Amino acid sequence: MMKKDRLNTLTNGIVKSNPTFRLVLGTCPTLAVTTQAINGLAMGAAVTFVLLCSNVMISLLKRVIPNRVRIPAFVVIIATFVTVVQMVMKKFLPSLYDALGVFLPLIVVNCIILARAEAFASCNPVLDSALDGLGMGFGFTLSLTFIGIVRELLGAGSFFGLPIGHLGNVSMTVFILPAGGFLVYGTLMALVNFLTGMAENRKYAASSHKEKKDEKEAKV
Amino acid sequence: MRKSLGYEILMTALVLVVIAGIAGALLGLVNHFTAVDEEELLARKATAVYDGDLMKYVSEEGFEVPMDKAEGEILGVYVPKNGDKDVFVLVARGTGAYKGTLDLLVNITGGKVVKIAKYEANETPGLGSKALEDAYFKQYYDKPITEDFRGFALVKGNAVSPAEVSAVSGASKSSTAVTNAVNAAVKWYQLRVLRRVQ
Repeated sequence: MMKKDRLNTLTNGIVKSNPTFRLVLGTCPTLAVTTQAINGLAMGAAVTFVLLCSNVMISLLKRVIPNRVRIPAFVVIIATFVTVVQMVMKKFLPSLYDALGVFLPLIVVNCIILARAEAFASCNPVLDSALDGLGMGFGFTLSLTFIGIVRELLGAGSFFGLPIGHLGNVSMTVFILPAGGFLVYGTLMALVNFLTGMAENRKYAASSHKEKKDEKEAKV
Repeated sequence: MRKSLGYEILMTALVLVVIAGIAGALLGLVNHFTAVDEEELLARKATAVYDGDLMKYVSEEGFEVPMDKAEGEILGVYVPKNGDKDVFVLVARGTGAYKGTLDLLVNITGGKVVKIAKYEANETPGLGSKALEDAYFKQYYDKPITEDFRGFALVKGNAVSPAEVSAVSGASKSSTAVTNAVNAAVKWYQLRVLRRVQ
């Protein structure tokens, strides 16, 4: 694979195929844990670690694992890394472990991870799978942190747990509740789609403008 | 040459077993370094309600008290290592919380609740979490627990009598669970300590 393609693999998950806003994968933890920005960040970091490790492992083992039992094999590998994350977090970050609650072990069935294992890692070389895992993980982390920041700011008037002025007095609790999660998620998804659509249009317009110019020059 | 069916079955099983075996070994190794001792965890958390070393309380009856499990239960009782007979630190579980149950540490000293702290609870930040702050817990403090004390009653609005506790507005579920947990501790104290003294 060319260097540029590798870069594309990495950035693909961050913008173009962002798992949260473009592919709409893994919405359950997205809505559940983003009541605070730090929770979103921690969840994203945990998923990134699992994605990276499982993608590398599955890519390494793709020739060994019989095709018929690949899903159980993938799930065992993913569950192992999730349990490692769980154990480490319980020991060193107990407050975050409590905050993420049941959604930490539920990473096992997070569809981003199984989807990347099945669609990418099981048919691509190790380095590319690692880059894909990192890119997707970063995209997920960025999205969750962003949703968390917006919800925490509107719902609790704070930024990463730090109160901002008197914003706490006029905060709207609904944004911390599940309904607010859907509202913020939907609005941000619309915004991201609008912005990426605009960028694509501009790119298209620029390329067609260049084509016309080339045509004119050719005529002259 | 086509591989025999027996060979395929054997290989499939073997690969899965090997993967699971390696995964198990890895997890065992990680667990060796990250295992959290529950007693140690309690000792660390209990410093929030009691300043000193605690040990497990052993009584002939155990710490089970007849109680409707729908309200609350006692998970453990701890007493100071220095032999102070007046102090009991209870791990009490209250039901009815926003996410099922919540566990509190309740320090009952000299027949009064003197300090409460969160043991394990995960209520909505900025809403239910207000029922887990000391400002709310203060309402339970320093009220004498006698044998005919009927437990704390949760009210909406202002509390009038000493046994009444004013719920956090917008967080009645969390307030209820906290009251259930504290009442479980009170009931344990009445049955296991007050009744025995007489």
